[in-house]
Amino acid sequence: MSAPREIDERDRDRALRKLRWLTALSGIASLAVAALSTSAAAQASTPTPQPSPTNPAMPSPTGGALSQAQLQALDFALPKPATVVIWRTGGQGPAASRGSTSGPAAAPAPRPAPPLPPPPVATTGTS
Amino acid sequence: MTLGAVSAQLRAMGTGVTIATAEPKALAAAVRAAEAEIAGIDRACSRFRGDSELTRVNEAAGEWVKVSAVCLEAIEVALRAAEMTDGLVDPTVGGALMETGYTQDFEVLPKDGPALRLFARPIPGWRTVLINRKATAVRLPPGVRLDLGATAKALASDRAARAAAGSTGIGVLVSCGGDVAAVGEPPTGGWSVRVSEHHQDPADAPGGETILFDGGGLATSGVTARRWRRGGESFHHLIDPRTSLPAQTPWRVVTVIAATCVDANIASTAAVILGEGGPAWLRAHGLAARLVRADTTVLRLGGWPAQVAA
Repeated sequence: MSAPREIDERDRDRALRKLRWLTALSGIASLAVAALSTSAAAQASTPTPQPSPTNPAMPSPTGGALSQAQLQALDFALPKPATVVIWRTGGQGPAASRGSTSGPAAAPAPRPAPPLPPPPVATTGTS
Repeated sequence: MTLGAVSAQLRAMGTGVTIATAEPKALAAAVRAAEAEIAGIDRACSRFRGDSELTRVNEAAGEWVKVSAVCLEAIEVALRAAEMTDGLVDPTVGGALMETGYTQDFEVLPKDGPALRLFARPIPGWRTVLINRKATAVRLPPGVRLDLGATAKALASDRAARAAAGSTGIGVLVSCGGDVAAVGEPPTGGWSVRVSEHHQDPADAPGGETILFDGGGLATSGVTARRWRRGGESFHHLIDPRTSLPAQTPWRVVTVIAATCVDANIASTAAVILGEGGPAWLRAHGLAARLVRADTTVLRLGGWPAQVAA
């Protein structure tokens, strides 16, 4: 019964080492993905926030891993092919998006300038 | 828009006259036709012309006087105005106007003078005027004088516009001293007409507005023009037939749109004389009107057209 026990311990040790390697590799892979994602996010957001001398508490952008929640918050999804996105002038956001019936009202379409009133051909008034 | 309309200005009946056509090529012929009609009314109906038929009728009060068909029509139109308004717009105010000092053409009337002694009493009334259509003759009771001022210019506009449109086949607008008549097809968008306090106000005069109308009559009556003073007291030409004195009214001017210029002028004059009862009277007759109070506030009634310019 002892031989199988020794084999089990060796096997366990090998398994543990293998697991450590796998964990390390997985960690390295996660760090690499996070670093790439951070770089993409930094490029997508313009202008890049700069530390302000008046607000030294503002964190400076640094490379590093993003949490899962932060990654999910970065919505890079494109509009669906059938969706027409109309942007309001002045950069105030989408006026109508994805079939939504609520939200900001679309800016009224510009009306053609009214024709100039014709000059009167006569005047009514007391005489 | 009033596209293609052209106009000509001239002077007749002691006032400014405008003749406009929807197409430029018709203007000269329209002016000729309109001028003839206006001159005919002036010869027949002027209270201040010594050679007018009306002067002859007034001076021969108590006798039958033969008159032309035009003069007879003008007197009948004035009597119809009195009938339509229960005597508010009555041609037998001629004597009252003389008593208040309006004795000659307003252009030469002295605008100030000594005090007058006036007595409030009803005017003789339109029912005292006798007409013989077959003989085209008129008879006034002794002492009665006719004044056709409330209807004659409007009748001239109606007749002139009708004659000019008939002879040219083109839409024509005629304004005699601000009494506007339009007959026939209007220009694209309608006739552009300025509504103001006085018919010679400039187009940018405050308080006015420009409207478009398709045809018929448009007339303004009021108490801010044709004013004179006697003994420091102010008079105007719209006589209240109930008192023989200038009407006491809250309205500076009243403008009315009606089927004809005569009807518009009858209604606008009646509304001024009625005073606070004017809007209800206009509503009861289904007329579009614009009334300007003494404080210059404006009341629009009965589908008055939207202004196209202030």
